[in-house]
Amino acid sequence: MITKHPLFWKEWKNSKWWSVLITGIFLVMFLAINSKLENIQRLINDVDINSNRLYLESITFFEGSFSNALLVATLFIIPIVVIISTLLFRNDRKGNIGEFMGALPFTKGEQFKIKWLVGFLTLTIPFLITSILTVLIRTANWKWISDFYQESRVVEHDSLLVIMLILFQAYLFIMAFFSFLLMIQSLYANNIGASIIGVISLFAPWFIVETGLVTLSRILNRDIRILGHERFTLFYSLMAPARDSIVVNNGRGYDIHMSIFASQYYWLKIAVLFLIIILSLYLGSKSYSKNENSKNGQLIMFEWARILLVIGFVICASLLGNTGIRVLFIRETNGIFEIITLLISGIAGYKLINKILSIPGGVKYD
Amino acid sequence: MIKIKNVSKKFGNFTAIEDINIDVKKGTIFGIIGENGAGKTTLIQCMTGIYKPDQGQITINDGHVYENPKVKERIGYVADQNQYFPFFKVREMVEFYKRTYPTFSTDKFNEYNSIFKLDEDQRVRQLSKGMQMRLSLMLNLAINPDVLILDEPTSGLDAIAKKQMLDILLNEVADNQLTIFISSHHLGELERICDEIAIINKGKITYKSALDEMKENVKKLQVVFDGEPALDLKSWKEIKSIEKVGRVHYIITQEYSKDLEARLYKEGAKFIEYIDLSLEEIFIYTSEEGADDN
Repeated sequence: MITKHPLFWKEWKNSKWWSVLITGIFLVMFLAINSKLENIQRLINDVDINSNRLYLESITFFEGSFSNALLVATLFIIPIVVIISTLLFRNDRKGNIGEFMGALPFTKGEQFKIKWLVGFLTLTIPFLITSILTVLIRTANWKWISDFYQESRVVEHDSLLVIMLILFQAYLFIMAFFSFLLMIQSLYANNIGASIIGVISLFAPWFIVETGLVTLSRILNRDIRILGHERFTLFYSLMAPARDSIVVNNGRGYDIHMSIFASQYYWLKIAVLFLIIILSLYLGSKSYSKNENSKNGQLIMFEWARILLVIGFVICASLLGNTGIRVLFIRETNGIFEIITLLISGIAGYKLINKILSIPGGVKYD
Repeated sequence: MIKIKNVSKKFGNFTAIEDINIDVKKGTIFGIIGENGAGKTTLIQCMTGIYKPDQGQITINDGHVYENPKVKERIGYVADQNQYFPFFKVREMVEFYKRTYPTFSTDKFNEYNSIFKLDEDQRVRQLSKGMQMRLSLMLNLAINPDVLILDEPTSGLDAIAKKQMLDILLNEVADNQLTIFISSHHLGELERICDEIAIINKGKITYKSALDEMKENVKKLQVVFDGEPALDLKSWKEIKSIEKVGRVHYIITQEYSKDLEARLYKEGAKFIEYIDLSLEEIFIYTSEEGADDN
């Protein structure tokens, strides 16, 4: 029984409080949903309201209320996930306690899997409670909602299944985010540094593609598009567990706004999220097995991860500096200005990351 | 029981230990002495599987230690500083050990706690250094290990607790054939309990021997020559250092023998007397800086 494992027992003593906090956030979310439903019910009962208008505005209002509240809840939960993933590695990398953990009769791979399981339970319990509450609230309100809808087509769009699928996607999104952060923890030897890198590296590809294309267009003085760019952006939007709006090129030289609903490409999104979880768990477990306690506290555990970090940091710093200078000081630029600011920002970024990496850390030896 | 073969460990460019070779027999107490930064703790951390040696191998009960839970289950490790989770209560640490080590005996822990008297409801962070050390010793003895590795275990203990601890260790060796590897600055304690001793200096073992043998080999000789000796005695391999006070030459040798005395007489010695050294003196004389100073 995994709950009897000493490491699980030890980690869960702390993590259970995070589980309680997340459950609390969901409860607040339900208070908001309930309040909204009460308002709608009051409007329906009010004869002065134009029922036709109300009907149009409130199509799929349960799903709508739920999605919006879930999005807000997710924004609160994301920082908690970052904290949980950081705390799970705190003891292992903290001087004497880290040494004690290193002397215990557990393999590194086993330790990593236990940490993931603790996180899994910490995040799963609130979602399970939320699912039960969703069913209860929905059942309690369904009578008047279905009476109001009347049309079966609308009811179908606002069905319990749709809501559960949205909740499941939100859950997988959070689990994928957590698993990814845990994998990054296994690549770097400083838990706080690893968390910062983990969060940044989630947004870095999108930032590099988006900003890089704008900068390249300015250097070459023509609009640059690359095949699949929109799809790439779409991918990021699709991962979010709520509806979103993105700008895409329609191929006729002008951009259009496109709404992405939570239910669009549902199974593809689920598959991608599952893949992220499984890959993160597998790669994290493998690389954590190769972690050496003698490097604890330093940022770099593997030399290749240093190279990757420096390259990524320099590219992002270069693009960020270039964009910042352009936006803050000069709006009209030319190709040479773009190249010079890219170079200066890149060099500054290179110096900064080397400075960060040279900060002493790690074990004291006797 | 414990076999350390050609073990080296570096931290960046700093070589913490180099080419260490030690064999410890079952049911014996092996002591390691060294100055601060000599490499004792690094060696111990390699032995407990905390660090992976860069070179060489460490086996306990014929099994490699690093990333090997089966072997680690049989090792008790008492570190020089508190390593336990600060917010855990003593009883929670006992529970943690009980879940971790299948051979953990609560009865044995309680038996030792009747001597050391720790309040099980206190949190680890509330315990003094000495109390934390006692807790660590009790927990690691209660797992009934084959090997107990102790790093400066008596630091922070008062004289009575020190004596109690050393008595417990001696009893464990006598009753349960426990093998102990211990490092300490308190050489008098090691002298009292150890069967074998190694001296580590700048990451290398400079001297290693059974304690009796060590005392037999390392001697301080007072030699009076008729005039000056013809040969440069410092170049003799048996001689570690020479200091001259008046007509008396004080010679420290690591390889005392009757043959050495005979050779000194041949060089013109008129009078030779040897003095037995304590472990502390042996340590001072055999470590490089110590020898240079004397």
